[in-house]
Parts: sequence; C-alpha cells; structure tokens
Amino acid sequence: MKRSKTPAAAALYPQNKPHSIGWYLRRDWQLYVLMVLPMLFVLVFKFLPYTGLSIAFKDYKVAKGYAGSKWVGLDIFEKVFKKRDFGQAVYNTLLLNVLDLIFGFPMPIILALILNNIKSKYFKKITQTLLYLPHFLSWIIIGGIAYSMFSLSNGVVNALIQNMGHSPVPFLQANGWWLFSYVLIGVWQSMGWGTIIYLAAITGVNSELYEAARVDGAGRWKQCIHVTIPCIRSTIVTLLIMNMGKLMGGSFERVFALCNAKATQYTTTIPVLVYRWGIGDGKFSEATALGLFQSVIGLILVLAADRIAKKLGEDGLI
Amino acid sequence: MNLNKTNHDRRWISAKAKNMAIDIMFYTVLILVSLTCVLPFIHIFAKSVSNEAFVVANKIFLIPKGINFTAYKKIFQDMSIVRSLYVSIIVTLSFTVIGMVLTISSAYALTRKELKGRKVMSFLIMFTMYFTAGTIPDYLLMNDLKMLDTWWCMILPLSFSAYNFLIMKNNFQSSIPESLIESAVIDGAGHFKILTKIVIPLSKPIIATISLFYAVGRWNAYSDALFYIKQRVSLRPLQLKLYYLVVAATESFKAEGVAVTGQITNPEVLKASCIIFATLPIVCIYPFVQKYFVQGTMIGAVKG
Amino acid sequence: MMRAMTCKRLAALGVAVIMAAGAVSGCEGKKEETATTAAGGGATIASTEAGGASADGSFTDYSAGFPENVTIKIPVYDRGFEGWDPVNNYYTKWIQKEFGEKYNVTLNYVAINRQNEVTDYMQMIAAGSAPDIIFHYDMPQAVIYNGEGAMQELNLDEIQYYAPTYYEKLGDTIKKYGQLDGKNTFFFAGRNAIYYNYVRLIRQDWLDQVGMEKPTTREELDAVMAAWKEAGLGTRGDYLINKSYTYEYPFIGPDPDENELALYLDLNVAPLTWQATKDYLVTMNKEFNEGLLDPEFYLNTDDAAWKADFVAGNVGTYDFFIAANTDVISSLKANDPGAEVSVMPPTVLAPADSHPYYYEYPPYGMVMGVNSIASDMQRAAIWMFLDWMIQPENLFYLQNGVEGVNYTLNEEGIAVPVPDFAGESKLSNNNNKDYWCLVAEVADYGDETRNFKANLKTLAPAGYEQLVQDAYAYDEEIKEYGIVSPVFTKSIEATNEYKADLTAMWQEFYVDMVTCRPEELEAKYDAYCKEYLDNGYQEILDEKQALIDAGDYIK
Repeated sequence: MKRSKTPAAAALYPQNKPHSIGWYLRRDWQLYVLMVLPMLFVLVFKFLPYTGLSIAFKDYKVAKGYAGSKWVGLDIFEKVFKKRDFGQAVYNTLLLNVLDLIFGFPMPIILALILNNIKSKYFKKITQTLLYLPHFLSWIIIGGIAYSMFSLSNGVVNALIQNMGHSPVPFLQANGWWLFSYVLIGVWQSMGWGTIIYLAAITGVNSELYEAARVDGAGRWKQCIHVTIPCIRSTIVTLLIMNMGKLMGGSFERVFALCNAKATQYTTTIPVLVYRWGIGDGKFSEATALGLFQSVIGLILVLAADRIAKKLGEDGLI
Repeated sequence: MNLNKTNHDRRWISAKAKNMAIDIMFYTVLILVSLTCVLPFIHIFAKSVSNEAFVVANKIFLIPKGINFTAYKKIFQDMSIVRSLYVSIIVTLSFTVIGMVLTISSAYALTRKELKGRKVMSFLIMFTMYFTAGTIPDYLLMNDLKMLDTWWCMILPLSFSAYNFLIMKNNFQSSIPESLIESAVIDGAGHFKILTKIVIPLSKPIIATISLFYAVGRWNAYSDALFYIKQRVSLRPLQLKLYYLVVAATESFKAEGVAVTGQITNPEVLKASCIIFATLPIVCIYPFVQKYFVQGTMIGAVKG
Repeated sequence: MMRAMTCKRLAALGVAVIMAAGAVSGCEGKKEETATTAAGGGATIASTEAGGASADGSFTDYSAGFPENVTIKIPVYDRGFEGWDPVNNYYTKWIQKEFGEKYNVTLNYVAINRQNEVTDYMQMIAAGSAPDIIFHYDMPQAVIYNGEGAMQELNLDEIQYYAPTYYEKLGDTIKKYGQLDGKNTFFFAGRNAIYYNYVRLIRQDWLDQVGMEKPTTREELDAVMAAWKEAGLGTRGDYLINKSYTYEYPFIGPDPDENELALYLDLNVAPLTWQATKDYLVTMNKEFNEGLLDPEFYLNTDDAAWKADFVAGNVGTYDFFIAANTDVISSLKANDPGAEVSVMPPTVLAPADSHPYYYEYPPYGMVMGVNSIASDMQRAAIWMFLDWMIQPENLFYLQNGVEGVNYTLNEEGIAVPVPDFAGESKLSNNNNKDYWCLVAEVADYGDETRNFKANLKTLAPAGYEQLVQDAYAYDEEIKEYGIVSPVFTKSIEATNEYKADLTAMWQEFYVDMVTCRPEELEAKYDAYCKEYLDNGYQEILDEKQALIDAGDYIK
C-alpha cells in the first residue's frame, strides 16, 4: 500500500521532526488506548511465563523452581545437539514441513478459486461445509481411520487393489509411501478449513474490477489471474511468511498418530523429541532447550521472509 | 458476411462449450473432494449407532450393523453433559467476544503508520507466535494469578491470538483504502470513530472469519482445561467431559488387580458418538456465518 | 527514508531482545521469591515445629488428637467416573468423620488426572501445591519424582511410632525396597500379588478344527500355528513391546547366572544385547517369516487393536487382564457364533528346553513418598492416617461399603455385593480402589483360598469361571519360576538419561529384526547391538556392574 502523496497526508506524516513522547501520546491517544488491553494481555499471558525459558539453561529440578536450580549455561544445548536423534529430527522436520508447504499451501488457494467460480449458492454452501469437516477430527481419530483404510492386511484400500489384481501397497508401512501418505492426509485435513480465509479475502474484491475485466474481453481464467489473485496476493504472502516460521515446528499429534514401528525413517521430528524428552521422560530442561532452538530458528526465518517480501514490494508481516 | 457470422457463432459456441466443460470439471472435483471429507464422518456415525461387537472387530465401514442408540442415550442421560455444554457455550462466547475486541482494536491501531512504537508492538505480538514457555510455566502463572478452577483460566490466557491478529491486520491494510481513512481524518474524525464507523462495517467478511477461528479454536480445545480445572468438576467444558467419558470407559484398571463393578460400558461406540455429539454444534455454525461473505461491499465507498 | 526504516527495524529488534532478556532474568527476582516459598528448600526438612523428633529421638504422642488442626492433602485418581466426585463423596465424608474429627485433622483430597498424572504432579510440585503424598504405581517414575526434589527423607522409627499396625505389615518391605542413595525415601502399599488375572486366550474351536491339543511349549505353539495356517485360519496375535520389558523371561535359559540377571533384567530398558533377547528375536523372526505371527503385530500399540483382531477372527490368541465385565468373549461370539475360548498355560511362551520364568511382582503396590514441603505434624498425620486405614474394619468398610446395604456376607465370610446397588453409600466404579490403594493392592481375606473365591467373582465373566480356574491352576504349577527384578539401592543416572531414546531405538530395531528375512538377522543384530551400546546402553551396563560389584542391590 503506497503512502498517499496528498498535502493532507504530508501534514499527517511529518518527516523526521523530533517530537517528545508526550506529543505523540497527545496526538494519537486514541490509538494508544486501543493498544493498552492487547499489549497487557500479551505481556501478562505470554511474556511473563517466558521466565520459564530459563529452564533451558539450568539443571532444572521441579521442586526447586527456576531460581533454585543450578545454572549450567549452554550445557543442555550441547547435550541436545549431540543426541543421536537430533540431526535426523532436524532433517525430518524440515523435510516434512517443506513438503507441506509445497503441496499443502497451494491447495486451499486453488480450492478457494474454484469455489469462487461456482454460481449455485446451495452447492457452494454445502460443499464448503463438507470440505472443512476434517479439521474437526483429532489426529488420533484420523490415525485410526487411516490405518483401518491403508494397512497392508486389513485395509479397505488394499483390499480393493488386490481385487483388481495388483499387490498391496504399504501406504503407511514403508518409508517412501509413509511420506506420501503423511503429506496427502495432512493436505486433506487442512485444505477445507484453509479456504475460509481466502474466500473472505476474495469477497473483499471490488466487483467493479471484474466488470471492467469482462468488458475488456477477459474469460474466466484471465479474470482469475488478473483480478482475483492480485487482490488476495497480500493474504497469500502473509500466510506464507507466517508458515515460514513454522518450518522448524510442526504438529506432534499428526506424526504420532500416523507413525508406526516399521516405517521409522521420517517419523522422528523435533516436536516428537520435545514430547519424548519432556512429557515422556520429565526432562524439562532438554525439552525446553529444543523448543527454544525451534523458536529461534522460526523467528529468524520469519524475519528473513518478511524482509524478502518487503523487498519485493509487499506489505510484509510487521 | 455470412461466413463471419458463422465464425463468430462458432467461437461463441465453442467458448460456451469450453465454459460448460470447465464448470463440469469444477463440480466433479468439488464433489469428489467433498466426498472424501465427509466419508470419515459417515463412518464415525455408523460406528456410533452400531452394535459394539462389530465396532470392536473393525467391521463397520459406512453402514451400521445392529443399530442401537444406547451410546447416545448414555450421553443424554448424563445430566452433567448438559451442564458442560452450557459451560462450553459461555466460555466460547466470552472468549470470542474478548478476542475479537482485542484483535480488532490492535489490528486497526497497528496499521496506522503514524503510531510511534508500531513496529515494536507488532514485533512483540508476532514474537509470541513462535515462542512458547511450556506447560509448567503456564500452569505456574495460572496458579499465581489464582485463576485455577475458575472460568477465567479458560477465557483469558489464549483469547488474544497473534495469528488471528496478523491476518486481520493484513486484511485491514490491503482492503481498506488509505484515502478513505485520510478523508475521515481530514474531516476531523478521531480513531475510535473511524474504527467503528468505517473500518468495521467494511470488514464484515474478515470479522466473521476471525470470529469463527476464535470460536472453533476454543470449542475444540480441552488440553488447558484438563490441567487447570481440577476440583470444580461442574466447570468442565464439553470436550473435556467427553474425553473423560471415553477414558473412563477404556481405562484398563484391570491391570491394577481390581475389576470394575457396574454395567459394561461400550468404549468404541461411546467414543464415536461423543465425537459426533461434540462436533455437530460447531459445524452447524458456519452456514450462518457464510452470509457475511457477500461480495460488493466496497461499491461506492470511495468517491473521487 | 530507507535508512530511517532500517534504523527503526533495528531499534525494534533491539528493544525486543532487551525486553526478552529482561523478562528472562529480571523477573527472576519475583520467581525466586515464589520458588523459595514454594519449595521451602528441598533438601532441608521443614522447620522443626513441636512434634518432630526431639534430640533424644522420642516422638510426640498425638493419639488424643493434634493440638491445632492439621490439614493434609491426599491424592486420589480422578478417572472421570460419571456422577462420582472423587474429592467429595460419601466415603471422603466418612473418612473425615472417622479419622479427621477424631484426631483434629482436615483431609483435603486432591484429584489427580489418571491419564496425565505425571504432568499433573509436576505442575503442582512446581507450584508448591502438590499433595502431601506423592505417589506412582511404578518405581522408576517415583525415583524420577524424588530426583526432582519432590520428596523428603523418612525416619523409619517415626513411622513405627505413629503407625504400628502399618509398620508391622509393611515395615520389612519399606526397609528393603524403600531406600535410595542411602536414604529412606519410599513407603508402600502392600501387595498380595495374583497372576491369574492375566490370561492367554486361544481359540478352542480352531484347535478342535485342526484336531490338535492345547500347546504347552513354544514349539507346540508354533506347530498349532502352522496347522492353522494350513487350514486358512488366523495367526498368533502379539503386540508392540515398548515398555515394562519382560518379554525375555521365557528365553532366559535353564541355568541363569545371577550376575547376568541383575545386569540385564530391567523394566525400563530392553536388554537388546543379551542372549535371551537374541533367542527371542530368532523365534519371532522364524514365526513371522513362516506366516505364523500376525504380520502387523507392531501396529497393535494398545490393547484395543489386538482385541479388535481377535474379535474379528484375524488372530487366534489374545493376552489380557481379564475382568468380569469384559466384552471380549461376547463380542467374539457375536462376530463368530461358533467361537470357543480356553486358556493357555504361561509355559507356552518358553521353548521346551527352557524354564517358564516369569516376572514376579515386588511385594508392594503403590510407591509413595512424602512431599518435601510437608511439615512434621503433617507427616505424623499421614502415618496416623495410614495406620487407621489399614485397620481391618476400616479397610473392609472402604472396600465393600456398609454391611447389609452394599453387600452381604456369605457363609465363607466373603462379601457378596448387592447387584446394581445405587444407594447413597455406593462405591466408586472400581470399588473405591483409589482410596485404599495407599495401603493395599487387592482385597485380602487372610488366606489364599478365600481370596481366590472373592477374586473369582470380579474376574470371571459369567459362565466362564473355568478360564480363571485354569489360569490359577497353571500359575500354581510354575510358581517357583518367578524372578524378581533386581532393585538397586542407588539411582542409575544413565538409565534416567537414555531411557526414552533407547526405547525409541528398541522399537525400531526389534521390529526390523523380526520382520526381516532370516538370513539378514545375524548381521542386523550385530549392527543394532553396537548402535544400542554406543548410544547409552553401554553406560547403563557399566554403571549397573559397578553397583553389582559393590553389592548395592537387593537380590
């Protein structure tokens, strides 16, 4: 969004004149009032607990509390980085999240564009409601259904495949196939819910623009490319940047629900390790250290993506 | 001349045919994909009204066998379910209202480029999206604020979501023309007035969307209530109550050497019916929200 | 313009970093305050109020009641039973009346989420609001609680003074098993272990169909499976082993070395490098490759999955803890009306040339410790409470309810519950177990025959008492072959360190070795053993060997 060059705007946005804080408070007091409660919430409910992150630098004993536990500096981090599964977990986490980004990110956009082209209101309503149903299923349930559908000996899908004369496919029980199924099921689960945000953005598009394009002789495809997509571009970029920060993260439940003891190459991820060490073993220091590592990388990625977006002329995240 | 006309007609017909082909393709794709999305629910519903023996053996797919409604009866007979439904509704409503007030105010305020400290505040909010302290620090905070076993611990902590904030801020930035706001400023309007009279009326789709996100997020989640609501059993939200219902039925205390007295519970069927029971209400809300996704709200808003 | 923006960006980042750092270190002051008041110093016992052991070792007598009201917080599992409030019900009120009022003690029950109890406890310990008794059914987790500083050291003489009856029954157990790193740390509930509640079902109708006898050794079991495979029936069922490692017991061999047993038997860490494990893997591999074993056994991560296969008729065996209200048999019959089941002897898992060793339960049930911030008087109150609860009439009341109302005594003196009782004094769905689990594991009538008769009612589904009878008879036959897991009197650091990762490795390795081709097994075993040792197991073995050499374990 370009800053307006009207004289009024120039008066509103003075160039680098030094003013006291009081001047700003007086001028924009309404804006500051609007920000009081949100910032209070953020500081109290998010930043206050951050003192708990100090656990990552201490030999934390629960009964001794943060202050009572001994400071060990970066020892915990060293221990975590040296663990056998750490390297594999980092690789797997990145791999799974990048695949999700490549295949899972565009799907809601494509679906939203298709839905936008549907004229029948009832069809649109019903389809939308059906599409986002998977979002409401917990991963444990989805895992159970996935195994009853895709398992080698009892799965429904494999029964059909065998009926057609082919040998059964180990959808979840061989490494390569597991990766495929993991991404596919993930896309399936989130694509419907993801369309909501894009549809909201699409309805914000001025219908006069479509009129103008139609007058210019643009067919549906051209309208989509030249009117719809540019108008939801900033939404796409915002969500893309936010997802960049999640590259080192991911869902524990999703991997846990779909993993098994046979296809193990890709199933150790950072959230899995955080769970294994934190909740499984009570090693809070290690789990917190790993979480911190995750967060720092995520933040760096987000800031980098934000800067790139701004260089390309987009609004950016902050 | 006749040739030109038929050529034109041909192009027009082929264009129309192409359009119809594309339409058919869209419809087919959507139908297929929607089917894959709804089939698991049909499967779960079939399990919820079937005979336990068949459900245990994993023999139920889409068609129920041995239809009975004992699991649903069990759910409805439990008086505390009604109470927990009420708790969930109150909590979800308050959560959404508070969340929306916070999100709209901050999203608008932080789009104003003249606001000093804007970048810092945006950064701080965004920071919280990637850094979490963990279950113990969060619990300690709730304990220190004396919010355990109260309504507030389910409503306040998560009500301001950085994710929702960023989406709304971006939406305000891109869909509300700066010139509109500038002209309002020139006319002497304060920011409160601009927010309520201009920004909110023009942002119905995104407000509907984010409200939905807040409501659904709060309705589905129970892992915080699991640890925060201990002594006041009557304060358990619906999802937590159902979690306990299923857990109690599947609990293998047999391993502890004491068997359970009481009638046979049907864990698998009960699990399935709990899912249906908990999901149906929130799923039905979206069609009502859809009416806010109406195009053309911007016509005539900006004049010269 | 650009420079201004970059400056702003940097400034923003700088402020944020400073704020974050400030948040981390600055608020330390506040947390320190909270922490000290909460933890009260884990190592140092709370200040000696009147009532602690005085210099000459004598204790204050509170049998007439405490001079001022003492509040103790007692944990109770919350299993989500409908209509049951675990912290406020007929029995908590009764306990308060009979014990609390008598001695001027206020008992507050604290609900512990059974499914997520460790997280629950950890949170409360961190906040200083944990109950005065910290408990867990597994010793390893109790050791972890102690390692986090949650428990205080115990004085056995004090227990004997305030809880003579309790100490008489459990004193030896406490002396023997309750020590850790030289300090008395744990106290226990008694356990009169029964094994016949774990049964191994087999499809009798399938046996009849192939005309074979019930197998009694591993070789016979495999022969039966081969016959079933021929006839197109199901396979042998099994489940994924990822905790409580006792799979290797049947393969220990006829004359186990005591040192080896102490070194390798471990509930926490699978002994991958032991010969017993190798024999186990070879047997499983053979069964898998010959199609005798359920090819997807590793997907059975919980009881429900194996049960589903058994009920559906895909596998012909199912091992589980039987209970009177189990629906396994009725579901099986609903799916396959001609199905019949019987019980296999535990010897069936062991090869013919081996002994049917089995894991023998330690003589304790619940493992407990006293909260490190509990005061002397609170501790005394706890001992008195345990002593009160272990009195036969109190315990019987808690376990069975009001005589004539909840139950009637039959001619053998065994309580027969009134069916579908729904009155005011209704017990919880698991017979109030969560209240009396502090002192006992099962109902005890004093002699084994009566215990068995009492248990039969709660274990056997109607019409299937024979199953439990058979299990009982089989278990009697192999009674002598129980091996108790060695208990080390010092905590093993390496185990705590590597347990979780070794568990993950074990699952991956053993499933791969069972499902690979037979000729690949040898090489894989050597490679996996090396990896297992390199990643923590060698350290565990070394630490254990040092303790064994020093005699720091209980045989």
